[in-house]
Amino acid sequence: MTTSSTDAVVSVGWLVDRLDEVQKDDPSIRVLEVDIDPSNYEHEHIPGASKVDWRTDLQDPTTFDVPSEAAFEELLGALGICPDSTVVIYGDMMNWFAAHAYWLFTYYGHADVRLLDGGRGFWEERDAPLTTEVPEFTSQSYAVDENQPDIRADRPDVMDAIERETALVDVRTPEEYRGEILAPPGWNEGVQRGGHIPGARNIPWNQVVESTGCFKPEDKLRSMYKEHGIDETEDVITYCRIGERSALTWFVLHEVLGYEDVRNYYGSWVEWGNTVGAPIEKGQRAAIKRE
Amino acid sequence: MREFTFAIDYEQGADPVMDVFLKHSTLSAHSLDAVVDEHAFWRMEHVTGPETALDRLEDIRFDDSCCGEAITEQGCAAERHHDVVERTTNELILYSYLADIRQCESVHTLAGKHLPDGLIFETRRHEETCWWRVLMRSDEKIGIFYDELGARLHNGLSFKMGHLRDASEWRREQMTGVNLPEEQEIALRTAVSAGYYDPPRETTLDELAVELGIPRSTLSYRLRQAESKLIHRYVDRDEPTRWLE
Repeated sequence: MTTSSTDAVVSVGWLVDRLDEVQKDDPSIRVLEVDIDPSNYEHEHIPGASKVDWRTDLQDPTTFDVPSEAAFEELLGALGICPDSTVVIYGDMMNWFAAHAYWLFTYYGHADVRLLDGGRGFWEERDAPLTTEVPEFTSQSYAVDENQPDIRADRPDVMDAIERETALVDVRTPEEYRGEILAPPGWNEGVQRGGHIPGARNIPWNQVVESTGCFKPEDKLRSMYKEHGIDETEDVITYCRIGERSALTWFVLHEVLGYEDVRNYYGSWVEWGNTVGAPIEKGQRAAIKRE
Repeated sequence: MREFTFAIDYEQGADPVMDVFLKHSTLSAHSLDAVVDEHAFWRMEHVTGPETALDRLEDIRFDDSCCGEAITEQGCAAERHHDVVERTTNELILYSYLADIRQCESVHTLAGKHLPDGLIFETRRHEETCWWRVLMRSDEKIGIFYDELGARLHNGLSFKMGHLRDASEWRREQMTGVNLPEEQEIALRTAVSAGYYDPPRETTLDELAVELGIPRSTLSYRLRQAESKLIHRYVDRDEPTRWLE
C-alpha cells in the first residue's frame, strides 16, 4: 500500500471505517464507482457507492468534450452530492477511469475529492464488504463555484509545449508510443496516424502503481520521474489515447507528488493523431530507456 | 467467430517455463487451451525437443511452487493438476487443469474476466516467445482485455500485437494430417510399400514407374510434390509468426 502523505488518496481501512456514514442520506460523504467496464457495478460494489458511467456521464457525445458545466452540476446533484461533500472515487483497472473522474471533479472545482488506493481490485482482494444493493439518496442542488482550467491542456497548449521546455509524458504502451499499434483492438476511437508527440517521453501509466493497483510509495514515484528528467520544477503535460489513463499520471504528479504545473491533454492522441499538420515522431529515441 | 493474436516475449529469468525454451533453441510447444471460467482452465500441450529439456519442463510443471502461468507480478494461488499423456525421449504431451484460481493472473484468467465464455486458445512456445491465438464468440470487450494485458505485464515481459479479425481457418493439418492429391498419395504409398524410402533403397524410380504404368518423370514429380508438402508441414509448424500478420 502506498505511504502517501496526501489526503487525496484514502486507504481501504479508511473507507471501511466510514461505511456506515457513506450509506446515510447525509451528503457530507459520497462514494462513486467509475469502471472501464461499467457492468462491474451491477455485479457487486462497495456499500453506499453510486455508479457513474464514463461513457454517458463523463463525456459529452455531441461535443466530444467533457460534460458541460450544467450537465456536470445536474449529474452531481442527482447523485446526492453538494459542493462541500467529500467524494471518494474508485474503479476497476487500478482506478484508471476513477482517476479520470477525479480529474474532472477537480477541473470543475469540487473541493474535496479522494481516490481509493488500489481501486476495486484491491478492495476485493482485501475481502472488504460488497453489496448488490443500489443506494438512493436525496437529490441535491449543485452549483460549480469556480473551475480550474489550468489542469487541462488543449492542442494549442501542446503546440506551445513542443517549442518550450514543457515535458510531455506519453503514458500509453510502448507499442502505441512507437507507432507500431495504430488502433488498439476493440477501441473505436479511430486514429489516422501512429507515433507520439515530438519530444514526448514514454512513461506508461502502470509504472505508477504496484501489482496490487495501489500507488507506489512517494519516494519511488519521485525518483522514477526524476530518472526521466521530470521534477517539481517542470511544466508537465500528460497524454494517452483519450485522456483517461493520463489522468492517473496527472493525479500522481499533481496530487500525490504536489508538482504545481501539471496539465492533462484532454484530446490526447485521438485528437493529435488526426490533426492535419500536427508533427509526429515515431520509434524510440535512443536516449529513452525502454520500459 | 473472432480471433485475436499476439505474442509475449520473455527475458531470461522472467518465467520458469519460458527459461527452458530460452535455453534450448530446438524445444518447441503447441497447445490447445480452454477457459472453463475466470477461475479455471485446461490445456493440452505437445512439446518436442531434447530429452533434458522435456525432463526439466516436467519438473517445473509438477512443482507446485513454480507458477509458469502468471504474466503479472501477482503471486499465484491455484489448484493444479497435471498428467503426462504421452512421453518419449523427444516428445511430451501434457494435460494441465488449473482450478480455483484465486490470484494468478495469466492470459487465461484475464481473458476469462473480460471475454465471453467458451474461449479457445492456441499457443506456440519457442525460444523467447509465446504466441497466442484467442478464439471467441464476441470481441465486445477485447479493448479492455488488450489494455489490461498490455498494462499488467511484469518486468521482463513485452507485448507484440498481432491482429483482430474474423477467424478464417482452423489448423486442420495439425489435427488430421496432410491431405495429398490422389495421384501423389498413390505414388507415395506405392513407393513406401516397395521400400523406396528404406535405407538402403529396395527399389528404384524406374521400377516404380513401371509398376504404376506412368513415365519416370511424372512419378518423380509427384513424389517431390508430396515430399515438399510433408517436409514443409514438419518444418513450418514452428513458424507461428504468421499469426501476427
